[in-house]
Amino acid sequence: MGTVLSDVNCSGCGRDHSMGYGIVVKRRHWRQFQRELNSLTLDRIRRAITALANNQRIADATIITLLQHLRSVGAYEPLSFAYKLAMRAQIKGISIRFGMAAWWLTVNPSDLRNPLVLQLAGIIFSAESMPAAAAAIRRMISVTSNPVAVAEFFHYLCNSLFLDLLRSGSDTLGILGKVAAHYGVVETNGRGMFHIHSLIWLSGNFTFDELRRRVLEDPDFAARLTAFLESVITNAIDRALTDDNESRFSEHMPQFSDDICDDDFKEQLLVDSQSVAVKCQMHSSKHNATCFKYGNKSKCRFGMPRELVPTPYIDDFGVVHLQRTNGWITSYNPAIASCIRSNQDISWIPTSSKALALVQLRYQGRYLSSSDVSESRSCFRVHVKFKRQRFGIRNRFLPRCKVFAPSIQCLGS
Amino acid sequence: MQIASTLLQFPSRYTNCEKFSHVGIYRLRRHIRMYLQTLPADDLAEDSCVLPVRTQKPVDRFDNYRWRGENLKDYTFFEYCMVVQRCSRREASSTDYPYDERHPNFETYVQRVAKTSAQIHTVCLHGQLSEFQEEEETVKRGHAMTAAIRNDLAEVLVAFFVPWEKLLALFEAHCPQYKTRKDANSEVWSVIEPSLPHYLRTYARNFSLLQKSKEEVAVDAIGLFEQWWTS
Repeated sequence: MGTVLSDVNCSGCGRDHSMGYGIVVKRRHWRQFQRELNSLTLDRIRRAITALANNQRIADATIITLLQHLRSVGAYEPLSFAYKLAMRAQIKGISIRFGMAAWWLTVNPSDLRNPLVLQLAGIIFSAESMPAAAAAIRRMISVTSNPVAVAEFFHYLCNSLFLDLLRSGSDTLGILGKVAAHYGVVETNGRGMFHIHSLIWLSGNFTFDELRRRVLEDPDFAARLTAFLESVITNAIDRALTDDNESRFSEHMPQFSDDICDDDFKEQLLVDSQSVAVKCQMHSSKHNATCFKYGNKSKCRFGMPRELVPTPYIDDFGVVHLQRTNGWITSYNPAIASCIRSNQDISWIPTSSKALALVQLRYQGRYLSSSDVSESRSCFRVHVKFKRQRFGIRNRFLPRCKVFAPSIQCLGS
Repeated sequence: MQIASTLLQFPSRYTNCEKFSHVGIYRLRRHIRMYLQTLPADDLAEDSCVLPVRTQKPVDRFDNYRWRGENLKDYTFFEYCMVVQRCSRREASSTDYPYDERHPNFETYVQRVAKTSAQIHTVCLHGQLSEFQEEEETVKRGHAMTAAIRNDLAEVLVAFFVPWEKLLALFEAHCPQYKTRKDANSEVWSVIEPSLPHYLRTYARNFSLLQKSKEEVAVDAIGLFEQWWTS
């Protein structure tokens, strides 16, 4: 019969299961199966359960028949391998609907440094009165004893990033252009802290071929595309600012007055984002263990240090090479850096070498199916109190979005 | 932290596309072959599907599409999955459409067409686009686009982007020997594809994103060469 029977107990009463289970059955067996299933009663099932518990045979012929046809029982299990496969199918579905993803964005929020974690944990503090070292230690203590605050922090940060900074799905301009859709998958690092890998689709549904053709054949379009990407992705640090900024790094987002002009806002944001980049975006020149964790002991898997690019250019394949003045820095977006104040990695997919890894969406597949850890296997109860708090990002940044992210549409149609 | 996040019911993935229609490619092929009479009609009796217990007769998305009725007859299966959802007749409005009278749930359900972008479903494919996909996967960092793979892909595209009732006539018009020809699907698809509306062609074109193109393989090879050269 090829049946997957989810729950005889409730199905036998002729009801759908309260948890939404279904039954997989071949069409030609459906009538027989349904007849037998509907003939069950709670008493008959209880008698069968009692018999099994007492190591006796089940006397009910109908239940025996149904059990003989039972092949497997399935249920929804978050973060299982099947769940990850389903996520991969969803990514593919979004790609069919919206076309090629435009951005690949990884964000590693820093729970150890962000003041919001403390606030979510209910700790009252004053940034001015608290020396930096003491604050860091205190946060570390509160973080390890309060995973709920960290989970909330990560959730609010992701929502703020996608909904407020990117304005995904809102048909309005965000910091990366007009974003049609996003899909971010949460992962944990060795310490248990979350980070998120995400794909971002822009409105317009442009294709590899079309974009590459225009980049190669239309110099004006290529120049505008390069300017757009340069305005969004930064691979540079101004050495004149570096040393000074490292000491000026603040865990708090700078305050901008409402009447600040666009040029001043941009200038201040770039200075602030550089101070964050110096602290969070620099790859260690000594590397670390994770650089070589997939077997290649001689070459950093992040490709650090990367080749310097004095001026941006487009090669014969139509791949855009953005300016890079520092071989050890990971690409970042100034607005995101200033808001989240932690590590990120951003790439433009359609005309970058990242596309090569992305095609077939196997790259994400590797991320999604890299582990099969189920939290429900080690579940325990936690009593939590919610303390809702969101970043005030939207009001501060979105009026300025046009300064940093021209819409992809303005590149020309 | 993961436990805390799950208990707080925070998502393990963040997306603004929350509504998905899931389509099994293997089952889609069987339905199409039944329509083209290259499979016996009773072959569907072997078809397995998830069914709610209260159903009086097996009904799934494919059945809903088959009995979608006269009003929605021009919808392709892809469009149908995207914008049409089942709705209880008790909650029906004047803008909903009844199923064909042959539909087992004709009395209890109607069809509701999406009116806002938030109601649109994203179509998710489950299964292999080609029955030779595994063979293809063995090609390291490459892609084998054989005639058989192209034909398999065309079969899926035809199933998604041509109303099923028109299939038989189209195949007989453009490829009369379709029951014996191994490349019938790709031949018919090459004829039909240019005549489709722009938006359907865009969706169909995006299917190629799930496969690797020759150009990417070429650039890929250059990248590999550069890596080898610098190492």
